[in-house]
Amino acid sequence: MNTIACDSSALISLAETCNIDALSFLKEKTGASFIIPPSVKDEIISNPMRVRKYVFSAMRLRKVLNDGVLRVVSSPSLIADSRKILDEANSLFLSGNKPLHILQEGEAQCLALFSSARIDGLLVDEKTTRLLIEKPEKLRDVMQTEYRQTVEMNETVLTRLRKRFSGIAVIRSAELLAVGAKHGFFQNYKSDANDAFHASLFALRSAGCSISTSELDEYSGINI
Amino acid sequence: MASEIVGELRLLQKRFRERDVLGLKDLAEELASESFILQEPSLLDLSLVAYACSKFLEKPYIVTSEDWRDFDANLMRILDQSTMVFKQGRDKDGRALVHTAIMLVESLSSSLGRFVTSVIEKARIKAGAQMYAHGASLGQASALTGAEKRSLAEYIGVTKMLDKYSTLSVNERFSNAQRLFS
Repeated sequence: MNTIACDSSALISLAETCNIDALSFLKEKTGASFIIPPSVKDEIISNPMRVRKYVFSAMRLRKVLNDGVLRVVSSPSLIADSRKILDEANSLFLSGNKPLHILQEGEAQCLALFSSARIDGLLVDEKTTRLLIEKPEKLRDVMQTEYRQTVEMNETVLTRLRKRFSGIAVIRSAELLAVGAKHGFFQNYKSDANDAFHASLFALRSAGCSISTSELDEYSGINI
Repeated sequence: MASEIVGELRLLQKRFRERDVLGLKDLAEELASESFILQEPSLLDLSLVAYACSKFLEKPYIVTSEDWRDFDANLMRILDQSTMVFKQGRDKDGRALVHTAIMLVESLSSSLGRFVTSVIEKARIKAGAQMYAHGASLGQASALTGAEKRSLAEYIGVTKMLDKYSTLSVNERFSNAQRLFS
């Protein structure tokens, strides 16, 4: 049974596109377990409950939590570990010798779960956290295009982060939905199941999942 | 830092006085990214004001309204006072004064605006998107600008920004995901 830490970005994408039930579906089909740190619970439920437009979306996610599909996990070392990750991530890139504070507490707590709990993967839709784990150089290259000047990387911090994030499997809501689709998540759409799956991927992109147009084209070659 | 803020205050006043809508929008973007790089909240406030003013100036029903003259005068007064206070080295007071410009904008937006979402909320989303493009995570961009995460994600989702961050191929990702759920 694999445990997957969930960032708020992916949970929000799934909730906003009416695909949040994919979590309970996959939990039932595969025995996977989905966990979140306390700060992510605040981001997906407590905070948006104060904004009328997003109350229903927050309630959908609260239901997922109350139904036991999502679990909040914390530990005595979580705050200290997330602080270390924040300090490292926020000193990795420099513009004109100024460190760029690219990461925030919610994302850092998710990453800190890997130190304190037995986690097999990270579900995250937003690009900075994913690129920090997979390819920080790519993030630097894109930033350099925006800044129109050199963005430096602190090599000592980079080495520390590579070691810290080694072996973390990152998936997005798109991949989660693709696996769900292969297990039959869209079967109620009958002859439209394949189209529903591909349409959902476009919906995820519109909800902010960091999936490119060319990746969506690649996904069109994966049928259920 | 104070001298940078004074420079930006002057530029904002100039472009507002000249009714330079495009210049105000450009300024809003620049101020958002500077605010992120320098970790200076006043620059964000000025970004929000610049964007809001650009939107107000586009709308004849706003600039011909009775409230507009008072807004114009009050905004310029606040910006003048902020400039003076920053030049005196009173950074904390200067930041507080700049922040009152936001409340002035909110007041005009709620009294004259025709939309449920205020112009400042839209300005926060634009600023957040700019920070996201400059490397901030979604959470950090949301935290720094006060833009709601969902709103920011939705806005970013319909831009071409997300085409820049591919790493693994879809087949590799899908295989990894299948292994995770096996």
